[in-house]
Amino acid sequence: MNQFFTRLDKALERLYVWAGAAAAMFLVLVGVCVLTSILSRLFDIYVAGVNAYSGYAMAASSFLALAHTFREGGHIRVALVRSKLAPTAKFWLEIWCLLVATAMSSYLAYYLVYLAWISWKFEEKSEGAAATLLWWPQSIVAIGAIIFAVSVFHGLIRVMVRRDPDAASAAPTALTAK
Amino acid sequence: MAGIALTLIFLLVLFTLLGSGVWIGISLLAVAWVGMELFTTRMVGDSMALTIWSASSSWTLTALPLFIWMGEILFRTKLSENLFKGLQPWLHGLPGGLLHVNITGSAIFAAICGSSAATVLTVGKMAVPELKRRNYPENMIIGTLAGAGTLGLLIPPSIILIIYGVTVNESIVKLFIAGVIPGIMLALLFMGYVAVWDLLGGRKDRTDTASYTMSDRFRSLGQLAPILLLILSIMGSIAFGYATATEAAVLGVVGAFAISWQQGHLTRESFISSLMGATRTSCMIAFILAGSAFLTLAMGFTGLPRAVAEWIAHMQLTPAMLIAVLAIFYIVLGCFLDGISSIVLTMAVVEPIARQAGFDMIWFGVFLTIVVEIAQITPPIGFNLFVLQGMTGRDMDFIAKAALPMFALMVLAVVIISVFPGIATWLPSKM
Repeated sequence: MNQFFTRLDKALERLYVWAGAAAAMFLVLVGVCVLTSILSRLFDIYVAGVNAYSGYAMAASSFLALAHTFREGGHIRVALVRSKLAPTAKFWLEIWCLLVATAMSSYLAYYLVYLAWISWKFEEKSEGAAATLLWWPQSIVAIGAIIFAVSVFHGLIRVMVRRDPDAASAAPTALTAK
Repeated sequence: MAGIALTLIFLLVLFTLLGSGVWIGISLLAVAWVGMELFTTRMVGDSMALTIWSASSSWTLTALPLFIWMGEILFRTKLSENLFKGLQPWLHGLPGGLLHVNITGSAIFAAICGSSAATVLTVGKMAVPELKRRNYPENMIIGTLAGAGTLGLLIPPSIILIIYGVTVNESIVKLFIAGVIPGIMLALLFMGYVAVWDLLGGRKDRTDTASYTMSDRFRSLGQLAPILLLILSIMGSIAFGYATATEAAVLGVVGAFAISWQQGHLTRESFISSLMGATRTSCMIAFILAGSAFLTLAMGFTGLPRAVAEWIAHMQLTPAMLIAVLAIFYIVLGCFLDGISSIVLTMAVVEPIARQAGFDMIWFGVFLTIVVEIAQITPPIGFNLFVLQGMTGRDMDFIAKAALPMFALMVLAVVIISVFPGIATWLPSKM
């Protein structure tokens, strides 16, 4: 049983990193889209909807990176109270933060899945030249939101099991916390 | 009456969540959710998903990760060394000597990177030990670096100005152009202070007696040329309308790769770590922006922005008083929140106030950025101070005191651009 959980812990950890890597590729795709629009303008070739695609890639990148960023301590928070507390109080405060975060991230994931499902059901298309089927990018965003919700809940369990308030998310460094 | 009670609950939830250390993006979502449940009968979850989807997939936002990536790439080159060696021969003879390297170095790095923590880190990495070795007083080294580091927020490309532009729907290009002159003005104020300090007896036991000939100076330009070229092409393409902010950002990424390759720093590891760093930072910001888009929607239903705007209008403050009130508000807020969060959190309420008062929104963006910059060097949450603390090992009191004159100069800058708004609005109006 214990071994199962250790494996699950490791597997989830890998999932966040993979999602983060996918997010990074979408960020590169944002750059490629914009580069394409510059080049197509220079050479007078018409490429439909590049701007819309770069927006979708941006959304996909942001959401797929949520879990990885969370694990690395990249999401900012007000640490004023937290940093001054005794270990026990800090532990309970972290539990509270993670409960709120688990609730909100699951709520967000649920409705983003629902949004993608509605778009799929009614075959909604984007306005403008691209006329992409919206469920396509929306489901990537929804998957990112699900992984994020899982990572937050995972963090909650970790903090409780290890009784370590810093087990959910790495402490932010000066550079990530600007 | 019920309205006031609900509003109080709403604010209480906001402060409890933020204060207890719930991640800011999550707090914004939760507060907005509470607001929607209290004030409307709408389907909350559906509105949330739709709002967040449109906010996150907007094309204007794409400039953000690209500029961040550019900064991350250049951060991993030997830029700090180049800046120091390239600027040293030019600034050495000025009163105040090499302290000017801190300021001009920051201004230059600010023009390729939108983050003030990264600016402090990059410039300070080389300058702090070098200046210490030459017996410059430590409070001046730290103070100038803390102050000038904030230029990263103002001199384009600025992450804060992109976020402001996206939030209030103003042209990012115009905001960028508007930040140029106030940024240079602020740098000159810092330099003037250093010069005056030195002329009034600051020299003493400094040990930098090297002298430079004119040919030394021009040779040193070689160190600076690639970076200056990159800045000029980014700013030029934006200013003359050849490229949008996003397109200029892509050119910046390409240019940054070229510089990193030319210096032999472009490896598989540096590529991956710069890309992952950019992915995480832009994810963090995009998440806050998504939360704030939902919060803005919820705020609209609460009626709070309109009530506050009417209340402010009712008080019949003069524009000068309103500016003063807002400046103090943001500096106090900045004691608890970082710049990005304090802007996105308040814009739903402050934007109608600013528009009603008839402020030019481009000017207001520059004003807001300087005020938020001031908060970067104000304890207890001043990120520049934290970075400097990590770098020098001095305690927070010493660092905050060293930064105090810079704080005063930045307040002076706010007064100057309020009295002469043209400093910010003239250049964009010429476009």
